[in-house]
Amino acid sequence: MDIGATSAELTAGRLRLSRSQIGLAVAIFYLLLLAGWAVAPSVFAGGDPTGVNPLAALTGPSAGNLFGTDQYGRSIYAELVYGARPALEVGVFSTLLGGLAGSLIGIVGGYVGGWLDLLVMRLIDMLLALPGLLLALIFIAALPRTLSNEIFAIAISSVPAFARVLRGQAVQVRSRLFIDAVTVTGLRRRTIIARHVLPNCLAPAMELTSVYVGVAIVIAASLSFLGLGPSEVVPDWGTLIQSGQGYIDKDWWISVFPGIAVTLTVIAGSIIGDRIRDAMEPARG
Amino acid sequence: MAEREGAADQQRSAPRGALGLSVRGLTITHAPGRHRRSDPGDPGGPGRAVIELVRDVSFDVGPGEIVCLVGESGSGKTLTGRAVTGLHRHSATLRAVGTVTFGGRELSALPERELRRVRGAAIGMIFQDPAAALDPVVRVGDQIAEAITSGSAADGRSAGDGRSGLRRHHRRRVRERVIELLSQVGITDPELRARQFPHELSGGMCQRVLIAIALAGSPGLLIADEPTTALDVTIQAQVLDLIARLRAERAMSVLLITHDMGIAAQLADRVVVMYAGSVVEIAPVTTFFARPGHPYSLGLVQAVPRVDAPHARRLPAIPGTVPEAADRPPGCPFQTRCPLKLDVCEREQPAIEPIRTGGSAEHLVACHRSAELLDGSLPVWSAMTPVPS
Repeated sequence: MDIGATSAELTAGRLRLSRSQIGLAVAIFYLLLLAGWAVAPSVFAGGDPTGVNPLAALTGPSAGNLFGTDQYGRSIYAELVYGARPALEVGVFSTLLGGLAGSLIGIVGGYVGGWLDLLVMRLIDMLLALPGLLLALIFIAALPRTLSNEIFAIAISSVPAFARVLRGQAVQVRSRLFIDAVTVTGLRRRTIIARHVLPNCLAPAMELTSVYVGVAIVIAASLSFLGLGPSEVVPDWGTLIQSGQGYIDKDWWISVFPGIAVTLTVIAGSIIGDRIRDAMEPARG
Repeated sequence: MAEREGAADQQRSAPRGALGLSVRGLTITHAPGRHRRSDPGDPGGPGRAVIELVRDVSFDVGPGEIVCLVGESGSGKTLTGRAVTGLHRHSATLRAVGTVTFGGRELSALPERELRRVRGAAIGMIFQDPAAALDPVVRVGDQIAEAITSGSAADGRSAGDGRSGLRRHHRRRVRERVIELLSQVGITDPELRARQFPHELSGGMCQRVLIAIALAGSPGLLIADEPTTALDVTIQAQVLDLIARLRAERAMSVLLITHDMGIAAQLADRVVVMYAGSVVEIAPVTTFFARPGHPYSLGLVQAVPRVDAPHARRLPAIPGTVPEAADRPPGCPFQTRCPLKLDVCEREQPAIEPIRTGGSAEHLVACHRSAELLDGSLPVWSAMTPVPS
């Protein structure tokens, strides 16, 4: 018996596990921080995000202004903190809305099959051919620039991905034996979808939701960067990145810190999505 | 063809067809890629041809009778069982013709909506892989409760629409029934088991739960598709005893699909043998094991290992394998492996009909040479049978 090798393998396994746990912990911590910013920005910001101070314009990161100031002397940190709420609102609500709609389309199409599935999925294919940003852009361009319209536009852009993934899952679930078994007990089709197909599709839906919150925030920031963001949102991450564009060669902090905030949100979402998938996998046998 | 219909008429006049299950002329075909969304893995060409998986199957299961449908893998047993409950309709590539009648109603003619009600109330079904036949994310008790409320759908709806007190009362009744069903199928500590998920139960317990689900609507017919294949031997015996006991208590008909001749001998009242999609013999169980009328049946019976054999012998096996559904020969499906093959077997598929000499009308065989076989004048499998060692 080679106990040495075994224990080395065990240690390696434990190390890998702990590294992924660190990633998870950081992701959760970051998202909790964002949530804190969003719920009580005044507690964290330590200042007014709209307080213009020409004397302190374009100062670099310092103890007083952690992430520096913009061209009007506003604290980037305070703007980031206050921008967290609209960013999360857009991310969470558009993903929930689009995810719900897309999941329903996908699950019903996948379970029912036939011409309905064919028709719906070709439409979804057409939408999938367009990148999410472009799709959202098409809708936002036609609508007044309000936060709820932005949420709606981004929700639509997330529908195809959810529909596609959940359809695949529903097709796989439909072919499983327990669906035959509940069919024989005389359940209605809608009951089977609600109580058996849907719960067995939950794992990929949750994973995708977690990833898509970050993606939706990126799309929102991109729309703002293009000047198509909601007009009523004052400190906005995307607008901030855009406004720092002209200063990027010297006063880099205006664009870089909001950029990091957006990036970290996406990474945190995908880390948590991975963990959800890992955790749900054994339950799916 | 005319001959075959004649045989079917004879069966139709038998009394047991009226109340129990009656399957007539069931043919199931597979036509890939016709109404299906495009499948890149589909080869097209000859593979797209319509294939007969089950061919002109007719049999009855009388009230309170256990009929064993036996045959080797790929003979169409499972498909036949699924077609009785209309499950084949959920596969886009399968088409079935023929009639399935149960309790005087022609199930095969019912629209899906009405068939759904019949399924819940009149027919229960259990499966080969009990663990896979339970939804992994729903508690066992809830799955049984669901079957109870779907079987009495009208009851459930009126209670659900009523005041909360009524609903609570209804819910408690359902819970009591769940516990009652679990104890009936011999599950100890039913309160605990009802709260658990399928992965917390053993395979044998899962099969008992499935039986409880099947019994929820007090069905007149239980279809058991290889119910013990995935279980170990002691659990297998318990599950079979349970099925036998429930049959006796409830006067329930059972269609037991199995490839295990031992199970057939132990439980069946009658045996229906399928080979390559066709029924080749139907006989009362004692007749079947004493005087099988088809060379395939004889091969099956002789291939059962026996502890009481007079001397050590090599177990005989039927040489060759079942032909694929796509290239079954014209004429008798068994001709490629049959030691008694004549020229006529290649041309004509023998009709299934009562044996001519010394048998009852209960014993039906589809073989051109069954009369000679039953005479005992033909040494059928002797070429490989007793090899003293």
